Amino acid sequence: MILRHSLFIARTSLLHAWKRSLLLAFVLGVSLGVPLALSSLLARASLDMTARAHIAPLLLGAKGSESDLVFGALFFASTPPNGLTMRDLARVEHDEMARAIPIMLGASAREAVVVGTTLDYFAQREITPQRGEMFALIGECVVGANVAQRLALTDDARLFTDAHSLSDLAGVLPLELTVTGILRETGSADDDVIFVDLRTMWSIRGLGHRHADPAHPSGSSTAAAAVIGQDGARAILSEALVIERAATTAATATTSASFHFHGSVDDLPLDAALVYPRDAKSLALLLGRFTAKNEPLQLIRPELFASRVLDRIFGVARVLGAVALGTALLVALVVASAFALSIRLRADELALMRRLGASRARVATFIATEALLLAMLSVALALVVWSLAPLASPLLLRMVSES
Amino acid sequence: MRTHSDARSSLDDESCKSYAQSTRHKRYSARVLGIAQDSSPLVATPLLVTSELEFRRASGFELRVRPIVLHGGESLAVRGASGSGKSTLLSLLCGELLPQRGSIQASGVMISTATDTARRKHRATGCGQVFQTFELVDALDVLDNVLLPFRLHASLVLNDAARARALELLERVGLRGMERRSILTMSHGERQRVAIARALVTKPSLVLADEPTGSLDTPRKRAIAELLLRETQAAGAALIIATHDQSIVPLFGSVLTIGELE
Repeated sequence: MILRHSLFIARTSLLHAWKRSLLLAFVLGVSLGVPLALSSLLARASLDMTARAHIAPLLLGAKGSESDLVFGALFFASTPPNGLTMRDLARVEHDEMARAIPIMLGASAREAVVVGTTLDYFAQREITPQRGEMFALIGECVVGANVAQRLALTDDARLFTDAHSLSDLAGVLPLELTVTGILRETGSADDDVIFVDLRTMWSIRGLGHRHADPAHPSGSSTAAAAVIGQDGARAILSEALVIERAATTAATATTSASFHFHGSVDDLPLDAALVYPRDAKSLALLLGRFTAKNEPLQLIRPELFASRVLDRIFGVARVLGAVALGTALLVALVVASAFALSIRLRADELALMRRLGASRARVATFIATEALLLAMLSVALALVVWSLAPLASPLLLRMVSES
Repeated sequence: MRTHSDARSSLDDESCKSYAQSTRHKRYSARVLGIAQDSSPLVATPLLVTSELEFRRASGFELRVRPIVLHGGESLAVRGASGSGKSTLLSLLCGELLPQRGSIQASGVMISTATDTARRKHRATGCGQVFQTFELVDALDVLDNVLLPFRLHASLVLNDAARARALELLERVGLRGMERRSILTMSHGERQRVAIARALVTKPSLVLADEPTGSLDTPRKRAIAELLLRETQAAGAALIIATHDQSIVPLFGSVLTIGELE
């Protein structure tokens, strides 16, 4: 019974001064939530980073920023240094010491990153489509679970790649992609991208194209009109390119076959390659191959890179965490004294209760209940902050990749 | 347990007479008589009996009060200058303070020697209190202010009967329909009506009012004093009011002037 009355009195008092109650709960909740959030964010980021770094024992890329290579190849979140070509893959696959899976970035579709790779990537990662099937032809794509949800894509949906890309200021041509499958959720960066075949990627980047097929005179389908692009004047296009306005779609076998790449495929660029050595010995030998001073490429162990980055992050975070914890304690003290003051301001009310026959214990219970409700509200807020924090993990990793 | 007074007691007659002085309140006296007659027991037991009381503070303050005997429906005005000890007397009667000498018996309970727990129970259930500054809780609405005593002591149970009684009292003090109003939106007169309803909601045998008209403007003073008298009498309780306001003193059945013994 006393509990019921305590709750009633406490609730009414808190609601009566709701602005003050809310302010106190908010300040306390956020200050308690920040250290919690920091630790959970770091735990999640560390997990994400480590898990992702274990995707490939080695990463091959052009010499330059190691971080750009790791974050580009593994998180599709930055652009690896330029200079890797298909030919370079032979250097690691030579003697069958390793398998290399190429990665090509630099395009997006409806703001989702488009990643060009081969089907080996999915075999290696053991990712299968949840619905539909893997891409087989140029112009086909499979989409990560989050992208499918965000863009409300189903298999057989079509979408255009974006005409502009931050990584390629000259512009990329919009190409219509046909969704052939939706990948099952992996809880990794794979969920947030669209995968296409390497050749599709080169086409998007303007490195491959197709010609009008004389057997199929130009039709007037507007869908097909945009298959490759509307702007023939772009400098990036080879002079052989003729804007195709055929009534056929990109996904048919005949048009796929008509795609071709000028020059040797070996010269076509890549952003990175995931390298899987046959054994530990091969790994050591491979690493040795890329240590020459004038070596234009780098072969790195993402695992080591990740632990270096995490060490640095945790070093900073420990300091931040200590500061946040100290601040939270100070704030808790301030909130407690603000609450005590608000109770003191109600001394008349509490004295009245005693005069009307309430025991000291009952009045104390009323105040304790009020403090408890306020604390619970604060903790609830802190938990919200805490639970939302891991969502910022990709953001943190991106920030780290850019710093 | 409450005992109703004998309507024919001299004190009651006096109080009726003072009522009758005001033509506006003739109808009240009839009602008071009616109720008293309805519920008058064969033998009237006083609700409050005190012997000569003596109370001293370390500061040198000294209060001496002649014996008081009050039956249900009777009223007593305690007069005295500021600082003469009117409030102290009320604190003694509700068991907040203990006299150094003398005894206080309320509804058969010897308050002056009772344990703290027993005296708290007396304050919660045996005596209703009305204050000069109303002493209402801002956070609670009108009805919850009236029902507050039920949340303060374990022997009072907040049930439907209590709510019905509170609503009935609010209607009697003229605040029907204002149950859910905030105290802060009410006038002083209205607030004191809420306080009167709160003092009576536990059906106390004794109502102690400390300068209940002190914060009110003159036209309201008399109205509140009359309301207090009317409702305590209707409830069959004894009323003691501490006041330095001469204009309302004649309304009460008997008068005790503090300091006159010295």
